[in-house]
Amino acid sequence: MTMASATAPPPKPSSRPPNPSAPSLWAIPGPLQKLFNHFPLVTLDPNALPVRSQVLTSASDTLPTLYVFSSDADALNGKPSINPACLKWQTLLRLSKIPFLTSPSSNHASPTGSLPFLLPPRTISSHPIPSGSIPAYISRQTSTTKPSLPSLREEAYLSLLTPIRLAFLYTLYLTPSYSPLLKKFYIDPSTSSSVLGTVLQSQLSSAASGAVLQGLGLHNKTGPAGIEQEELYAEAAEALEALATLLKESATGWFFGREKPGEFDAGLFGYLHLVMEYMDTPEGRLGKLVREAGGGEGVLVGWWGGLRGRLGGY
Amino acid sequence: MDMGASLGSGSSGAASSANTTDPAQHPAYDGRSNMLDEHLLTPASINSIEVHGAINTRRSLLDGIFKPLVEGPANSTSTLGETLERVGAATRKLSRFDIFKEDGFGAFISEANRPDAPANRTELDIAIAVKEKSRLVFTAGTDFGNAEGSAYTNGVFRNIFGGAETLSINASTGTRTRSAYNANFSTPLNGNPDVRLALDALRSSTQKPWASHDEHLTGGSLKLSWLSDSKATHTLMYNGVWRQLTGLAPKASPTVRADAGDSLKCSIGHTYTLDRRDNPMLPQSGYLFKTISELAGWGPLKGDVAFAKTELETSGAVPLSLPGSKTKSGVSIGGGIRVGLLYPLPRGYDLTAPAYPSRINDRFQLGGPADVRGFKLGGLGPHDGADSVGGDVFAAGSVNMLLPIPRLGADSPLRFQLFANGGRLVALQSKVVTGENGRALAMEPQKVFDGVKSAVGELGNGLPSVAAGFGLVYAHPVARFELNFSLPLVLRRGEEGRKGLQVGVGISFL
Repeated sequence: MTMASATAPPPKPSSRPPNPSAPSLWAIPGPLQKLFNHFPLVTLDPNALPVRSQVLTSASDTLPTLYVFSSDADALNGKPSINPACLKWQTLLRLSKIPFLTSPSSNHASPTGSLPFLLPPRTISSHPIPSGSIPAYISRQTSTTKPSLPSLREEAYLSLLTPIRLAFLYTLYLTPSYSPLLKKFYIDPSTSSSVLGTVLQSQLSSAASGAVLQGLGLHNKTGPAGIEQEELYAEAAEALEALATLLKESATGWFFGREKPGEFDAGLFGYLHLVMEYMDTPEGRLGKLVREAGGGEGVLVGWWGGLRGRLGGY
Repeated sequence: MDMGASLGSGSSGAASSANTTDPAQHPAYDGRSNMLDEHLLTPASINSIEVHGAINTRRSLLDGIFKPLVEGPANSTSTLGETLERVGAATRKLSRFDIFKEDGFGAFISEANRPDAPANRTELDIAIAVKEKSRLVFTAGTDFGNAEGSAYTNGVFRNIFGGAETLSINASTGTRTRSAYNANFSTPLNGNPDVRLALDALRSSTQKPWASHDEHLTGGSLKLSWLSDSKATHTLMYNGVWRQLTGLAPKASPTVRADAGDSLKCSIGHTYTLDRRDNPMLPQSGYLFKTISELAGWGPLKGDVAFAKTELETSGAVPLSLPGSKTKSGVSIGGGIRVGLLYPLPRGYDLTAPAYPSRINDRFQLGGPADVRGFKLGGLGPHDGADSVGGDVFAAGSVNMLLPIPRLGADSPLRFQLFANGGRLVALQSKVVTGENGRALAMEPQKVFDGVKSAVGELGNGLPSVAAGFGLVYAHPVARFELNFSLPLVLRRGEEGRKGLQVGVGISFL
């Protein structure tokens, strides 16, 4: 309401509707439009973008950017994200050999309210691509056939990731001894202030405990007090065991006997990479569970190492 | 019901005789009748002052104003005229506390009948009647700020502790502000209405359509304001605010996406305002000089952003008189200049440490109907797609001529206006290493300096972006309204000019 104007350039006289007897109330009269067309008298080169914008986004003129949870330095150097979902898509994009950038970000930047999302090159589109549409994007870019929908068998195994996810959330967000790691992952990239950091960390923890409770079907409980730790880890161990068994059956070393690691491999890698890199400590139990899955032969650890090697630089 | 706060007698000092006072020392009274002159020149002192009607006001606050009148050394040597002048000055000071009704002041003077009164001086008993304003006021209404209209509800608790302390709680929603809650507690210091300390808490959510996002603010500030002898206002401020850049539009640019999220700004600032204009809404003579300085994040301030930011504004107007006419013509020529600079600093104490370039919510925006007219809001400066992403250095100037409307004349608040204005808004310039690897945000101090230097140099590179036009100005006591027709003359690609009509509503214009 602060500004009103009759500036919208109407169609040029030639393209006007052929019915001049009913001119729009806001149409600009011809002579005025002719005058407007002379202005501005001089048009100069555009102003350069600010430095922060250039560092973070100038390369995105030609490359797509994946917005992930990460520290500034890690994201700018393409290091793996510290969030399982972000790492999954980062891994999948990397496996597809499409060149892309990663940018440190937060949920506030995302059109869906959560990370990651992919922004196409500036010159192509400014519409972000939500993570679910990344496989379609990859197949468009690499001109490969669209990945077929997961088979029933794959879908069944997909559900094994849920107990792993819940145990991961519980360990990172709700185990006090991992609180420094949580701060390093999610708070330090956002703020250096201890006051604001505390506010953000408590928001994160309460969201995580909500997610774990919901995952366990305990909708009516509030707070981490209602979570049965032993049960949580036992289910995660069972799921890891099943995955290790599945992997042993595969001839290629990748899930479901695929030639190349696929979306399922990337999804599991998102969790296992973080567990093995950062959370395989005496006070945590997940690392031990991963190492012992499959009868102590280190099947999952071997798979993790193999995929890591394929990604290069991780 | 009236409870007087009366002050005891103070003076019985040595008298000076009437004829030793030289009337020539009081040129202010020249031209008045001799009788009044003689009266005003008789020695007089104050025996007592009583204040009636200050029911909820602390005695100490009144003492601070009136005690010096009775006990001060001047009281024993003054004339009646001087005494009345001092009582008047004290009453005006009392009214600046803003706790008494303007039309409720009354002064009653009577001769004191004290047995030991000196014979050669008149001793006076003074009674001052005041009416307190309501202590609790709720208002609701509409308001105009710069480029924004809003509706508000406001609760003011005046004179809470009897020392002219004010607590004001405000909730508003507007064309750009989705919601804002604000609580402000302010108190005069040392019983002086011209020195105030204020504590402010704020929570708001504002749309920034020119850069495709909303900004949520939660913070507080501590302000000390005072009026200098030259009637300039100073404000010193400490400010801590949590900013959240969120709610991005689907087409938000990469620059805005990169800055989305949380940051904490802790800063100290100083504002200096010297306003010598005849009418702030329609200045036709006089000048304004204003500086705003801010230091954020450096040293003990902490926070996530660190910079020094300064802004300077000056404007003035000269009335033109028509040849051969002595009456006010209502014609004037005015001009204004505004400049600003943001210099990134390292966080912490070490000035040789690397600094981080500015974010969108710290950079300047330029352009708009109350700013550089003929441009959209934030229409000047660097743009990423349709988003105005702001700059670190700016300079803007305007010249305008105000002419009265025929038949309405010079006393009407309506004017015809001719104007031309322009400016540059540029971002810190620096060569950035691009590519998939090796990008880094931190900048070495020398690089920051070179970047700022080249940005300042860029201000003068080529013509500034300019627009010119004409229109109508209406000066309402609460805001100024402008309806202009303008055309952009010079602009840079990406900048958003506005051809045609533009409406501006605001309280300060370039």
